[in-house]
Amino acid sequence: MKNKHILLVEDNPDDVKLTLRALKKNNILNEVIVAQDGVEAVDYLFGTGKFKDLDTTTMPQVVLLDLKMPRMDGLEVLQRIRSDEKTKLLPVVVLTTSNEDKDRVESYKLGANSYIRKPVDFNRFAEAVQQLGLYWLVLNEAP
Amino acid sequence: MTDAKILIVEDEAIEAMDIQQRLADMGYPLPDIAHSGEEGVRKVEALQPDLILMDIMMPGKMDGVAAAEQIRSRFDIPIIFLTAYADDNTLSRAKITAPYGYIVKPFQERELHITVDMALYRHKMEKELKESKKWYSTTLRSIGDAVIATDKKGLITFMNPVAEGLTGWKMKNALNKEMAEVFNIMNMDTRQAVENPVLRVIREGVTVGLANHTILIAREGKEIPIDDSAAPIKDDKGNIMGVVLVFRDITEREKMEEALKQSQAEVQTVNRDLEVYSYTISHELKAPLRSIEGFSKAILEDYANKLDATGKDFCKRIVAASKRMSQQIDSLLTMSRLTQGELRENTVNLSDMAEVIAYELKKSQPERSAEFVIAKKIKIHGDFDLLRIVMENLLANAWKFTGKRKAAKIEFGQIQSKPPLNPLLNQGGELVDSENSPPKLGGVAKGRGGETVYFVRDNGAGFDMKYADKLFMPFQRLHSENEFSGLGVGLATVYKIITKHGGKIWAESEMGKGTTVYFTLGQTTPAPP
Repeated sequence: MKNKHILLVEDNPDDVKLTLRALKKNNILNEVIVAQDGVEAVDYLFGTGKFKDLDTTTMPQVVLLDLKMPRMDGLEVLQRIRSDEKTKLLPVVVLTTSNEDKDRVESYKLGANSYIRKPVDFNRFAEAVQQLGLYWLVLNEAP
Repeated sequence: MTDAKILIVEDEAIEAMDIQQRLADMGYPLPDIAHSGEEGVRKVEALQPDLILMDIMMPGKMDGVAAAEQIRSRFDIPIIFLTAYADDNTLSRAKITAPYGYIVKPFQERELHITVDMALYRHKMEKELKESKKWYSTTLRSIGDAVIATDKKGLITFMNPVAEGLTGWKMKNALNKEMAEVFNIMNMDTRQAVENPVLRVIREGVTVGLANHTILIAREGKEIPIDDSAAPIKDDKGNIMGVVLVFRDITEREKMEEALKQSQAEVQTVNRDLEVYSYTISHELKAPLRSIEGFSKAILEDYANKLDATGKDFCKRIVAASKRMSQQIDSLLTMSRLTQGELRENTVNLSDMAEVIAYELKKSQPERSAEFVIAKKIKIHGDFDLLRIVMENLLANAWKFTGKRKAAKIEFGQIQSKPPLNPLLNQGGELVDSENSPPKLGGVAKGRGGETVYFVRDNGAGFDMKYADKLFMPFQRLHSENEFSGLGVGLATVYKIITKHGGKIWAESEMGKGTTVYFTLGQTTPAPP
């Protein structure tokens, strides 16, 4: 079941709910794992901390990464992802809240593949996914 | 100097008149005669002659030498002694009075002529030299910087009062002393002695300045931060005759520099804080808005069958209001960011920019029939991204306010303001339209004479000129939301951008007829095509 899943790293429960709804509404039925902040995301990806017993052989297809989070922010998570052999090529889509050029530039510098302006709606998500060549996500049918 | 006034002091009347006649023959104005030493002194006082011919042997209490002494102590007038006797005693007495000549009677006319001429000439030269010396020393004494001069060995020959004050040495005590003894300097940071600049000037023959952070240690031990330079004094042939050292107390300047540094640091901190503040606002304030908008939409979509028309309308209003607030936050942040950062100047083709924006506007409402008239090849120097905001706002406004016109017409062009300028809005100042069509709304040249003025003109709703001053203020709107929607930050942002470019912006309008917004970009010549 962990095949072709999405990792959503987002601390705001409202945003989590709205993002999940947007994905579901648009027939994207891949499993979505939610990490509530950067530390949790890193633990999940590398099988550390509270995920130390997790089998990390199957990486998520894409990481949707919020930037402003408590404990460890999105940019730091991105840095960790890009500096590890295992996760180096993981597609990361950064979620930004506004037209903050600084965030976008900083994210691209650190190796983000794309960004979506929040709120995540279908169109924005589809655009980003298309850009990444992950058509399978959008075309996915219910099992 | 044939107009020189000469006084003859001679007790022998015949002799005196003879000399008088001879001098007159030589072309001098008829000289005056005094017949005794006493009379001579009195006449000098009254006549102020240019030269005195003084007989030495005269009867009375005052002989010629005594008279000369008196005159010399009070006046600067050259004296030539005339005498038949030239004994050693008289000569040595006479010498002390520093005469300009000495003629032994009987004398040749030629000898008299030469001696008088030479005396007058020498005196004139000496007087000029004295005056220029006085002028230079007064100048050196009066200037606000400290000045010390030395001879070619580096021994002090002159100090002005400022130098005396800073070093704590009086000139009379410092004369002929080594420079290093009086001008004792060291590095402020290392507290190591610094090489005396005077020695280097003598060695290298060039002007040298002091390194930063030099302090002078005054005679009484006081430390004064100074700034200085030393230059060689050279003779006509370029040989070094000495060195002049100029320095000043920079205590005040250092204090001011320190204060300036501090306030710059403060400004930076404030700017950083402001940036953090803006960032926080955009993130923290927009998160709840996102929830309000998102969940209202979700209700509309997921529970549509449970809501009646009024309920749906309410939800729609919530969505619209939160969207609007979110945009408002974005606009405010954009505007505040404009005041920070430098302009990235480049050649910008405003005509092409206007075409692209016009195309996008038409695409956004294909049902509207509107004509864009955009002048070709308007190129300027400016910041592309910022000017794009300007053009977008101005054209979008024109588009918006012509929304109710059947045949909307929006123009972009440039005109040359014609000197002399008239700085008052709405009064005079003709504009010459480069497109050969006179401006429709009675042009105004608010810019400097000969400046290029750009304009965006529409035949839309227009506004009441009564409120023209509110046009460029943030959140000021001249139309109700029902008539034309908007945030009221567009023109305020435009205003900031234009101001940042050093330009001006103003508008003219007539209710129901249209609006023209004029702007300049703070440059007298547009970019070359």
